[in-house]
Amino acid sequence: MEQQNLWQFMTQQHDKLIQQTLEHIGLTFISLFLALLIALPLGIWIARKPTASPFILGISGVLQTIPSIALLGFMIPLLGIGWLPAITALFLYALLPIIRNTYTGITGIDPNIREAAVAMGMNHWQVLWKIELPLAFPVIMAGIRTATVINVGVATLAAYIAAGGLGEFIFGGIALNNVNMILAGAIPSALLAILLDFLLSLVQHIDLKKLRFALWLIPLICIAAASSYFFSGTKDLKLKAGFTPEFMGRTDGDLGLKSIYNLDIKPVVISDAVMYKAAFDKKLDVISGYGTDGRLKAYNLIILKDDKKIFPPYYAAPLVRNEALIKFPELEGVLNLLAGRINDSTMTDLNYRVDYLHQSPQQVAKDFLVKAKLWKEPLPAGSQTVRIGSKIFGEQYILASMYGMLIRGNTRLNVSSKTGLGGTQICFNALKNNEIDFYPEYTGTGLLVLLHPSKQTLNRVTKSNDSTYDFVKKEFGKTFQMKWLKPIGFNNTYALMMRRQQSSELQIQSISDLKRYLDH
Amino acid sequence: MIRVEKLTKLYNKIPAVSDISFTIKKGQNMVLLGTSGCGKTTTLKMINDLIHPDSGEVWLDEVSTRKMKPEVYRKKTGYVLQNIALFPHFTIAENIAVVPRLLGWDKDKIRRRCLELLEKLHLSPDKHYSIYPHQLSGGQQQRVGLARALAAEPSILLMDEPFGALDPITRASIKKDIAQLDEFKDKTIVLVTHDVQEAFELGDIICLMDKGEIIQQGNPEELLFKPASAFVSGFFKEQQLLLEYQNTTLHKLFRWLPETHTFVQNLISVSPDEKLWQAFEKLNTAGKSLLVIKDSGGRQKYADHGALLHAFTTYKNTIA
Repeated sequence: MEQQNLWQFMTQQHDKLIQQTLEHIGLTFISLFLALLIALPLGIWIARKPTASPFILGISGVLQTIPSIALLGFMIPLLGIGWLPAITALFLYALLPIIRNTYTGITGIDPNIREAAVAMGMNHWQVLWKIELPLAFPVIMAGIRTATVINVGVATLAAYIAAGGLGEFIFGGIALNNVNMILAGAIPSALLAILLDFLLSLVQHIDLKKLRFALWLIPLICIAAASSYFFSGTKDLKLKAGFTPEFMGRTDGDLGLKSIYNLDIKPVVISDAVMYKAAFDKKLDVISGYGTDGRLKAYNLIILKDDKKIFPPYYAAPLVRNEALIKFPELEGVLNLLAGRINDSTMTDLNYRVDYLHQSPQQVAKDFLVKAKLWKEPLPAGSQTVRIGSKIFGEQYILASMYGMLIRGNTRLNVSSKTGLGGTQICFNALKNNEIDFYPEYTGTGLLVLLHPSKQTLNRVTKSNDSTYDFVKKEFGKTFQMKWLKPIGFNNTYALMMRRQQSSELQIQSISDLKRYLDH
Repeated sequence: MIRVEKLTKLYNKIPAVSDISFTIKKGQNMVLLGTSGCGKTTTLKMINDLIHPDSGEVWLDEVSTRKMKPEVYRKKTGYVLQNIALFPHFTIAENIAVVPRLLGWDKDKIRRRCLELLEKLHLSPDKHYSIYPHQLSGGQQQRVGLARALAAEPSILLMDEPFGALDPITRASIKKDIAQLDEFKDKTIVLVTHDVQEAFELGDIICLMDKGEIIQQGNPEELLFKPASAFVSGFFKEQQLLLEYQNTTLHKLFRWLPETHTFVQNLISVSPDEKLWQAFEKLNTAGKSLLVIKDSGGRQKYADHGALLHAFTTYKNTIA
């Protein structure tokens, strides 16, 4: 693949960049504006009601401590996906700094000054407008600035729930190990935070005489900026698609759909964690997914046939460092015990138990091994330890557990598991840097993400399942001194999915059917 | 005029002020005197409802405050705080203009009034008009505080230890200016202080308070010469003699002063309204001399140190 610099990437993707930036500004300011509407009066109120202040500050403090990704997660069952849960979450995050600073600003005023104001004959509103708000103004503005900067940061996570923003680039870039893409999202969002903070600092030092002006200005700015979200792009198509950030940037993903199928489905970007549920809830109609995902079964989704073969095979097999194979001669044989033992539907079922029935991966792994008559009581372990890695999703956990049990049952090696190593790149780097000895990898991933072959090579080696495996095995041995052991059997390829019912109603069985349906 | 009837304020069921009543006639100055925690400030703040009484009633110029909104009568009641508490984000002029603005005066009138008050309180209209409070000294700030209280020409002025935060020299200079200002002459004033000297200096009536109750109220002489209880005499004990000299007019001593004199080197004429203390001061500064006092009936009497002391002792014996 040709090396591209950041500037070239940003120029090439400027449409998306502008759209994402506008969405980002919009998300930040809609939520900030709503937070102002609630937090300012609330802050003023608790400043006058000392009994209520610990309660209100406590609640908003607790909201602040919820990890942002978890808060977004809580929102989905209540509010679905898209801008509504994103803005709600951002709104909740913006509350605390504004409430607390309004409260602190007002209660920090010398009580004698307030008494003087009352003694001069001011009523509650006059004391508030003429004395309390102007004197607390710098402190309140500091809170608004904090909230704005927090919101710009948290708004990147909106990309996980199909609300757009610069997080689309950031998470796509992380998933694809594309530094330019990460930076194209991260730099604008950092600049945005700095710029907004700077602009608000100008407002903060505005002459107090013009306070009324400033107080009108802030909501106006908010509304103006907020509207950018809705100008940033209309996504209206007969079917609504949602793809993961990773899928968006891959040749065997959205790019392939565009170039090979000529299918521009205008997808929203959404996290894998909520995508299947969103399809089930009819928030989305077409999603990208994995061929053996348990949620396929749980949510009654079907895979659209890839009739033009853009998704290369993703056969899972243990990827082992050559050194480890030499150090533990018995390892290869044990790992190959699983070769060819799990087909697509079995794997889907195992995933279903973990992802949907919430059984533990260890339990599911053990049940399978027992049923397959592969399970043995662990042997007393010696001093040597094999380190197993896995990426951060259920299927990998199950496979890692199975391998751990097989090693313990058949050898005197110890096992340490490093599960949850994030995405492909993190896992692969851990293997390369001798932090783990092996992890389950997929041939397609090895081919596209790690090897970056030329187009001709790609066309040649994706013709059949075996040619992909052979090519990957040969190249890894040469380039990385790693060995692909025998495939486990199932093919966890990328796929487009729809709800079974909708697919039969619209008679869409393959991606070409989908293309035809959308063109009419 | 201020009339206060049976005011009571409880904090945690303990009375801070209990059952206080007094009347201040138009133009009179009343001083609420007492130690810290005696309830004098609470009493003052109940007059303009900064503290809401648990029971009792206040009349301002014959109208019960129960029939008015506090915001309304507070605008007609000047208020001066010990901590001065000017509004830090307002200029000096804006600080002075607060109440006139609330009352909706027109801009020209407000401006003229500000300039007038700056002049009267010996501040500079040029230099001080549009600067901020923190740029002024403590004494200047309290002058602005007084101007703010006087701005809308209230008939009533409430002052909570107005000179408490000032050094003695600044305090004396402000008091002198106040004494000369006609703005203060026709006002009904309530002033809170713990300073006995100040109380006798400024009060037409002194109301001595202790533990939330009025122990004695009356004019300065009554408190000095007819103390209602041992507490009252005890309160003034340390400064008793000085206060007596300062609060006895020559008029009171007139009948016991000699009508003739033996030797005259230097005669100084004094009014019978002058205080005994001032008479002594004049004798001291002028060297060997004699005072000549003429009463309204045209009679003339003469006094030196000895004669004044003799007359004062006799006077005290007659009123005791």
